Amino acid sequence: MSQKLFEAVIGLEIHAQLMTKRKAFCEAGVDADALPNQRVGIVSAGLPGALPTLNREVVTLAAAAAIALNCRVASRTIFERKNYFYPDLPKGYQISQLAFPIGSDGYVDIYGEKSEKLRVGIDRIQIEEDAGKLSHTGAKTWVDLNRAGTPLVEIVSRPDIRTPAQAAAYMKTVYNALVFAKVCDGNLEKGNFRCDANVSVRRVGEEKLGTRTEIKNVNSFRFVEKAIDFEIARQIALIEAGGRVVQETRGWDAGTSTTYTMRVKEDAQDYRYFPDPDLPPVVLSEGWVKGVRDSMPPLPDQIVAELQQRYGLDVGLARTLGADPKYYQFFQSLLTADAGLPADLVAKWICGDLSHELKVYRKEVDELPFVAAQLATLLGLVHEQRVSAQNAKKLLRLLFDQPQVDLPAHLREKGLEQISDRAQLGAWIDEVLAAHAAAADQLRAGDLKIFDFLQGQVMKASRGRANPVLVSEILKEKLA
Amino acid sequence: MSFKELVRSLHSGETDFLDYALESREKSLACQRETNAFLQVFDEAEIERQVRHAQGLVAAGSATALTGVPVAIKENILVRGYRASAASRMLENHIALYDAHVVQQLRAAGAILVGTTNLDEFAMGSSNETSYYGPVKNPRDLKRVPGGSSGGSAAAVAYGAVPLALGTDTGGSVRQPAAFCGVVGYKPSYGRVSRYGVVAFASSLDQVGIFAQDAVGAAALAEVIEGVDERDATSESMGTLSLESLLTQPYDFAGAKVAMLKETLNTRLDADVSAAWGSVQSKLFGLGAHLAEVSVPAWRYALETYYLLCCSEASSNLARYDGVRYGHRAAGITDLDDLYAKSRAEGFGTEVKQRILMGTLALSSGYFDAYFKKAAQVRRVLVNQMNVLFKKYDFVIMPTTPTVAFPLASLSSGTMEMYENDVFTVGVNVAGLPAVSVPAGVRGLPVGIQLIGPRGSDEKLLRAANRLQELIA
Amino acid sequence: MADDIAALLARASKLSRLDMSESELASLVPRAGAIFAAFDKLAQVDTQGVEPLYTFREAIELRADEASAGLETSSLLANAPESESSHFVVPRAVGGDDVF
Repeated sequence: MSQKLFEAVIGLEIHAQLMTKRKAFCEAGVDADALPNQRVGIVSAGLPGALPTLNREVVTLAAAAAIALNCRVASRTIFERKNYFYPDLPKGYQISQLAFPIGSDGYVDIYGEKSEKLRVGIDRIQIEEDAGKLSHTGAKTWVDLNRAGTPLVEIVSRPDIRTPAQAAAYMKTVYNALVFAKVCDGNLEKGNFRCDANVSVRRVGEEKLGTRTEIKNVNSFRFVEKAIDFEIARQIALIEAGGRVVQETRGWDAGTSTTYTMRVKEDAQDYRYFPDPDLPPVVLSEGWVKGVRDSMPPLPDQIVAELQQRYGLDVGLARTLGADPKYYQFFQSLLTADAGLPADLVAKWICGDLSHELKVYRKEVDELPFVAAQLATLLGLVHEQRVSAQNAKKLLRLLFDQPQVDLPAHLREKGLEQISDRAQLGAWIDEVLAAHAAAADQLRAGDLKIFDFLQGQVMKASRGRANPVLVSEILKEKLA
Repeated sequence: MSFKELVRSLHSGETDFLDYALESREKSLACQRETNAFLQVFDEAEIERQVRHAQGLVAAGSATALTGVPVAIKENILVRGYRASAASRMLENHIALYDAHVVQQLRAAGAILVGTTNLDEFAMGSSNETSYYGPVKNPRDLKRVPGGSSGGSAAAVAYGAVPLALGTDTGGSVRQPAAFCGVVGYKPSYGRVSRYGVVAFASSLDQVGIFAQDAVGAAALAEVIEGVDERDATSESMGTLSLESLLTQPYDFAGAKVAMLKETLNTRLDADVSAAWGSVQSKLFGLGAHLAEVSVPAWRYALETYYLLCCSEASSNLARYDGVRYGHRAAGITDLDDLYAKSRAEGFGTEVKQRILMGTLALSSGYFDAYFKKAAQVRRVLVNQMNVLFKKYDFVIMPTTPTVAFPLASLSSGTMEMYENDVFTVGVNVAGLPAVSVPAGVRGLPVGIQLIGPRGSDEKLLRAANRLQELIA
Repeated sequence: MADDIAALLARASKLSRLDMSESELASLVPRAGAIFAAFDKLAQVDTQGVEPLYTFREAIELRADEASAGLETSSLLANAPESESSHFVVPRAVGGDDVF
């Protein structure tokens, strides 16, 4: 009830790791699986005399990210030093951006349950380097600098988001855009895509923003929604009880489904940003930006349009399929495996039955135990009406359990093959009509319940293999 | 011996590589005992190894003017496998893991690295008195400072231990000691020589510089170390710089337009400096050069601009010295912030700490616009004014320093009085220009006269410096 | 004036992690004062519409996306004041920025 008196104002800051071989400003390689301190160059070790150099792929991918998120790409972008002391920061400063970031003034559109659209503004996209990894044991902290210097883009949204569901949708939309654009590999477990949420509440109608808290490093869409939901409720309860929200950084505890205080923001840290004198400006011509745009794979909006125009999918199906790069890729691999499959059928199966089974088996579409060709075979059988819809669902589950199963052979052995041969069906129908001549007369006289009975008899005669849709059709013809 | 003569003698076989190198080593040790100019003198085995390499180059027909020539390296330029202390307790146990670009170039050219030289701590100073390893004495008068921060390299060349030495020049740290010690000191155009492997003091001001007895030696060394290095994003290619041009295209001052900055003419000069300055002016006149007084208003603010920029950049560059991954760590500390604060307090000397504090303040919120950003704007004003000047003039000329070398312990570090030593040199770094200090003393202690050119004009500048040196001799 | 400077120096020493005693800071105050006065002179220069100069080179040259081997772990840790199991070791870090 109190939720209606308050509204939440939410902004998200996303850090996405760019897919490069070399670090951003250091000559060492990016490798999350390396043993500790084995991917540390002179620069990421913060050694005396070290100088940063800029990896061109970082600029290209960051520009691609900006384009994918409808941002303006800067013609001149500058790196700045963010100065502070922490053991995971080897130079005593992070190379980041401030006044002239690579991307600005962009947006993504997110769609609600009723397809209502919300345009969320993106204030800026900036290139920066990641810090090293710390692990804590008792009274000590261990430092591994492998990750130090890994290239990131930070994407800062405008505070246009109002609900936890919108936040999750925004995060997913940005995620898909970056994965589609091949900018980020999207590996949430490894933390290659992480999200900080700034949350505040205010009474409806009030213009002034409430004090905000920052929930750090949430790396799943589900958790972002839950964490923000919890935090909003917490803040409202606090205010209604007469308290005040403290500006602080909070973490998300998935175990207890709560946010907790990580640290209270002291008088704002003074990072003493200044343009890095070791790195001249990056100058990007319009021609270069166009080149990046032209060489990018199609983006979600383009794909949704293509799915509607080229494959004739309806807008809802196109959006579901087009929004998720892994689904879209899988859709294409099925059509490649069997070009004869109708796109509509494939799309419906991916978004419907397959999506359902993926949840049941707790797998992502790129973790299927069976190859695309197998599912193509199954869909082929469905298309040719050689298996009933019900049995097809069972076969899908079978594929999860026995990925190598020979589907046509299995169909035959288990007698599951659906019979759609009109001649054979006709013969069975004639048999049944002959055996139940009185019922047939009743039906002709108007007793429609008899139809189901007759149909059932045909199914019995065929031992359940008759194509029920065709049976119904042919039966109607014969009775007419 | 002139550098030209030395090279002839080495290449002809008249002087044996190994003999000469070992002799240089001996002199370096003596120089160390008398002046404290050297911090490390490499052992005989190391010298011999390098000589063998140099001989190999000769045999292969790829010898250069530097092959077999002993060179000393300021100890803030990394030599792999050797201590790179920057004369600081913070790095007293730090062994360089890689060679600086300039060191790689020297090795490839077959130069003989004889050892490392003393400096003001982290290159911050004008007298070489802030070194963790004790002050350096001026070989020309052991009771006086050699200048700084590259006091050790200047002394090493002035003493005669080595014919060439590398230093770094951020606000005059090569030219000023060169003037005090009576040798040639050359600071290249900013971006001409790679800073890869040079312990950073102020990134937009630092350049590796050269000490030599004459401009020919300086040019020979410059040719080897200059050039764009992809590992230093601020380095750029700037046209040719060849030793040969000095030898085959002597500079003719007749008709040359030489500017004297009005803003420098009121600075009080020592009598010896005044005498040398007057003498150079009339000699140039005699050669047919046109001398004129020109105003560059922003030059009046060069000192303040310089200190603002260098302290700010230094405060950030020195943040990496925190006792975590290398360098000095305070003992027995169990709190992380304490570890930082005490390690750095123990590791840095007072001058360094003072500059870090000032720089931190100049960058901090509330001060950034009025201080650091303002200084960067004044910088551009100075650059623009100098560009306008150089459209009409070939060079700017002035004394390198207002005084001769002052007595040891006579000036306190960190005071405006000490900083005023750089009043003629800092503007050059602020504007990114090349400059050479040429020995020009007519009596008493050494005096340097500074020749400044537009950015990128290093070859012409060295040719002119060479001619000037001949003229004065 | 002197008070302001002492407070500023104290703040700077915290920000730059330099442990300085009261007396050390006090002795720096007059020098800092003189230096600040020098810095303040820059206000006399007309810089209306002048873009600050932070680097001389106008455009950076980009490097290829090729990884080099990086430093040998043993060399990297050889200079470390404290290390264990290929990690650098420091006293326990609390909070901090951008913690993952």
